[in-house]
Amino acid sequence: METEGRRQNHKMMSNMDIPILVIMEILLRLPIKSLVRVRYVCKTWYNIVSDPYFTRMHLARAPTASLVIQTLLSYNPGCYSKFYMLEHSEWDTRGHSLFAPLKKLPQKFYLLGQNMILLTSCNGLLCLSAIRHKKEVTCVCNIATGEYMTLPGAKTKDDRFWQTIRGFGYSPKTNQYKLIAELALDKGFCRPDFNPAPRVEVYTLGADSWRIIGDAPYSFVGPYFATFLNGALHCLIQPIDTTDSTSTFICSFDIEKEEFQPFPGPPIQELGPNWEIEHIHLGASGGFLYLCENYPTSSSVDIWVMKEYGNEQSWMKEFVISNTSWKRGPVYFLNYGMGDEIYALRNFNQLCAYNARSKCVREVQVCGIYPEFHAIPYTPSLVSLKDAVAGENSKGHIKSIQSLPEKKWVKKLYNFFLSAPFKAEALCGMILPPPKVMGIRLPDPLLRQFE
Amino acid sequence: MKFCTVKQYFDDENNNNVTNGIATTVIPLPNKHLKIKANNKEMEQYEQELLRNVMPQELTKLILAANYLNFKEALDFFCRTVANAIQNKSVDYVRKFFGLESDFEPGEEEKLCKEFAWSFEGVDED
Repeated sequence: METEGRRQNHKMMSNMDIPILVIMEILLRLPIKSLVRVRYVCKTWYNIVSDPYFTRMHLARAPTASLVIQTLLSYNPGCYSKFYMLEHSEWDTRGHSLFAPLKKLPQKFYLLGQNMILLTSCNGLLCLSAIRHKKEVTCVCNIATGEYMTLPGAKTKDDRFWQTIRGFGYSPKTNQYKLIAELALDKGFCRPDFNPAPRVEVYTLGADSWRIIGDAPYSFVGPYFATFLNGALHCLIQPIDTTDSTSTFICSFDIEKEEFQPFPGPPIQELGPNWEIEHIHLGASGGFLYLCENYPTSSSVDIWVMKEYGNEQSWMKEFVISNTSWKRGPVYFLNYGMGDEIYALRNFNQLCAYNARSKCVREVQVCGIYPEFHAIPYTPSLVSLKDAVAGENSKGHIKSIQSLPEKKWVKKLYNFFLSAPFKAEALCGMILPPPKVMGIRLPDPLLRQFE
Repeated sequence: MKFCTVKQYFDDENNNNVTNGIATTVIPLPNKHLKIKANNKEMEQYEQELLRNVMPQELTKLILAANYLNFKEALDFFCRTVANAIQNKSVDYVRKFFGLESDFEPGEEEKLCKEFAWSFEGVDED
């Protein structure tokens, strides 16, 4: 009798009974992987999920970063790398699970080229470099939508110049994605003391070519990518003129206006003319800019947060971490402002959890993958390249990852090396204990209660 | 006050958006919220208990009620619960859950499944 009643309930609800707004509210709370699957429930759902307005709303609700991980085999970095995604939504410890699982990226992803190296990402679009037809190319792709496009080569065809991509940003006003690259004179071609201003090229996603916008008023410091926040890229810089005594060490590049401006930094120690990039790292998380400073003379790492964007007085020294292992390399906070436990990716390959209340740092164990890895913060989204590119003509450049021609050797490679994870390591002479789960071990929720 | 539409609801006699059963579940929520606002754990337990007695399919009706009554916290809570319930489940499960039918052409769906084989890995059992 009861089952009859329930079946009745089923029949009562039809596609039209649930208002679109309600469906949207539910879908906005789904993680990307489920969203990609669930859009095939029916055509209405497919249309909702594919709508650019919906993807923008979904992205806006996901301020915490996930990670894309690339494992590196030390004897040949970039070759035979495996790629995984670690979604932050899986790190929710309310369920008292101890592992956040790593998800392997699809097999077809590896067909984008050989020796793929993750560069940077913006709004769910991944930028990576790869070797295709023996040439190095830069690609932008979205793994959730399965699209990719190859970027054209630098505008400056002079062999003396070396293109380095410096940042990937987005202008909400014009809905354009842009990459900036530095064209630096190869050091072999100039006097040792000659330090010219770097030429800057900008590429608007979808355009036919890069555009030279002139020389930067600053020289970029370090190999790290600029931090994107509020429609601008922020980089650590040094003035070109070494006699310049101003203490500017951060600049912003407005994506829409394509202009460099000095940006106020926190009142950190006086920087000499040749301060080391290892001591300072700029980043953004939860909508705030932060800066980590770790001088060799100091025993701790100071983290400053800019509480009000653009306001120099709002830089606050928020955390002081007396953990010497933090003193090298960049720090990426993943979920600042989302509660007491802040996850940070340190030095590209070490995940830590910092508890703001107890001021304790805990190393987070990553299991099941080769321990040498490179990771970049990444917010998965369904931003379609078709909506991201400017101009109708450029849509022809967008290809589907699924359509990449499969080479038999790649399939064999995937099946042998990549889906049998430990055969590869064993062959390379590394012996790893077999893991039970592939993922990250989260801090023990029970222990946390006693802090 | 959170319940601007409640007064309207009681005034409106021809209301079939919110059945009585749903109203008794949704309306006491704000009072409970205020009482145990500070303690998240208690709130969680209360919410879990509430939902144990409610069938998954009923959740969609609760959402409609919360939406009609303009009650944002309840709407957020119910939507999150539905999202958690359908997360990582197969497409068929989701269809059954909402009582929906696929209106794709037979070939279309297969083609789409192949395209995103990745997202179909690691799906929970129905």
